[in-house]
Amino acid sequence: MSTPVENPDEAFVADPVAWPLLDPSAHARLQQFYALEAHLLDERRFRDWLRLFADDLHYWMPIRRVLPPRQRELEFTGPDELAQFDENLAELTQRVEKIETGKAWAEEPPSRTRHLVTNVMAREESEGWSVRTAFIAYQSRSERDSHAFVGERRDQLIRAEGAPCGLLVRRREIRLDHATLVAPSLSIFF
Amino acid sequence: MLTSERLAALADPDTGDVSAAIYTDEEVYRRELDAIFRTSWLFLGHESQLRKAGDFFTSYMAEDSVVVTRNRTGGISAFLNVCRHRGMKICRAELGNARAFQCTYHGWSYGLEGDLKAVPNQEAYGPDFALEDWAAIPVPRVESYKGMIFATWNTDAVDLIDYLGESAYYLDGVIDRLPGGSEVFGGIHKWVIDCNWKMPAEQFASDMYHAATSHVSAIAVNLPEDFDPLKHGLDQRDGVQYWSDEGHGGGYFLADKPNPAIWLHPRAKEWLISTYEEAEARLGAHRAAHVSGHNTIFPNFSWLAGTNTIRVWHPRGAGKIEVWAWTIVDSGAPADVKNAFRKGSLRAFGPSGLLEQDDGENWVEIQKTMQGSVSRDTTLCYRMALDAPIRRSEHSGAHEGPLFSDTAARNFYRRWSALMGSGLA
Repeated sequence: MSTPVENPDEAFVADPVAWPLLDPSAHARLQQFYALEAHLLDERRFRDWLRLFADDLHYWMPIRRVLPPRQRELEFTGPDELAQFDENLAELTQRVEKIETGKAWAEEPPSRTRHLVTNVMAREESEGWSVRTAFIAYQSRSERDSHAFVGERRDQLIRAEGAPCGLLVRRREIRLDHATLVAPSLSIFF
Repeated sequence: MLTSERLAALADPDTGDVSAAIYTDEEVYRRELDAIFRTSWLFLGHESQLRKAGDFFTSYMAEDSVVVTRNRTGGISAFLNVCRHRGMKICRAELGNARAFQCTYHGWSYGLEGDLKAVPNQEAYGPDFALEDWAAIPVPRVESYKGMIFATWNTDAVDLIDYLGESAYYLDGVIDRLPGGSEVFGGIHKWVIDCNWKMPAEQFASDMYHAATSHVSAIAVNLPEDFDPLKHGLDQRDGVQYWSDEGHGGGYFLADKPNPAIWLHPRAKEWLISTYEEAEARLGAHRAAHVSGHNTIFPNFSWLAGTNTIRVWHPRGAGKIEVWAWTIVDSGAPADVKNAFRKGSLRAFGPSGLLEQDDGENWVEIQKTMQGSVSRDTTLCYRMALDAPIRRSEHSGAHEGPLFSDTAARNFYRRWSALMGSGLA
């Protein structure tokens, strides 16, 4: 005999404890934060983009691997292994400085990008929010080269007075859906 | 049709005239797969990826997928990743630990040495069917050099140590600096660049010249305040290029004390300097001080000293490669030093690397440009240092000359031409 569902909406939430239904205002605020971030990236306002990160940032994109069932928990490389990005704020800033020289040939002429960030799931925590989003980062380069990077971002956001939407990213783990990258480089941000 | 005459017109190692068609011609590429990649020693991976019996990884020898295992007797086996029944991949995982590999098509099972162990419904193949007749195709020669696993399909090939030749001397400077040798980090950077495999292979053999222009932005953001260009390798006067008859080559800046590349993590630089005396006792002053430089083992294995990236340029057609890049580090280094090499390497020469990005951009543009009919018939200039004096290295015995030079590239194409021309009408 099945238990009657009191709130029919919650039946659709796979894990209502980990990812509770968001109240609409919280959802809107997080969406706005991510829309602003995507806008800054796509407008190539990288200095402004850097202001969305906390001083103790960890920005990390592990490598994804094709593994058999018994080793499946090792699908993503761990913190002691190689990664696509493994940055603190100073290191991420250095990447922006490289582009600003005007001689970073993988970004000069500049990539045309569009970051779409969606599927927001969030959990409020003592210092802010734990958030998962899905993204497509589309990159068009030169005359007709294009690459689409697709994946999930796992963010830890902290509340910060005066920050856009009152939030800063302290930790970002980017999980691409690609194993072997089908692109000559990762010269854009995620 | 490819003839001796046509081949000679494609690349003339004596004059340094190279046709752009070597990057685009499909017939050249098909011949390379046989004449170059079935005859040469190719890098498969590192022994530290196979720590215990049953550990395996899949790798490639050019376009051929191979399974590499630590077998039951502790040795390393490699076999073609092709089921003898219908040609399906025997193993579809990048790495793992297994007792056997079962093909997911009809269930044929293979052991760690590629031996066929079981075939469902075997009796239907009749009494004469013998499992041992249908083992996976073995890679006949698999040898390691200080943990680096190479293999070749060529049963007549010279031993690996002789193939590496004088280059082993330079390789030791990265993989055998200290007691305990070296190991690779978990995770391999794998990415696709739309360019011919010879562009990066030749660049790592011969081209220190590109760095100041290609990597100007990465150099600019890494410059220390007390930067002196003469001490940091933007000037060729104190450099050496080396090459060997097997087609290998490399280049480095001379130094009388370790002078790590500016883009290395500070803790990694510190390590190279603080372990200098120990490395000097092991390697001699000449190599212990040379902690940066580019190198290629013909045909498609390259490494950079200092950032410790080691990589293979797997060909994927005339106009495409798959790069596989590992990072190697002294096994005995403390955890914080290993972490510094890990971060320094991925931030400089991973797919997102501040230096790596610039190279891919150039190669992709070259490959596209060379599709033009006139473009692909263009003669490219490999004449730098054509008349420069050359000598034998007193250290390694390799040929050597000035650092900014196309000589190692011409030598790369000399070896390439010899292999490509063998048996041509």
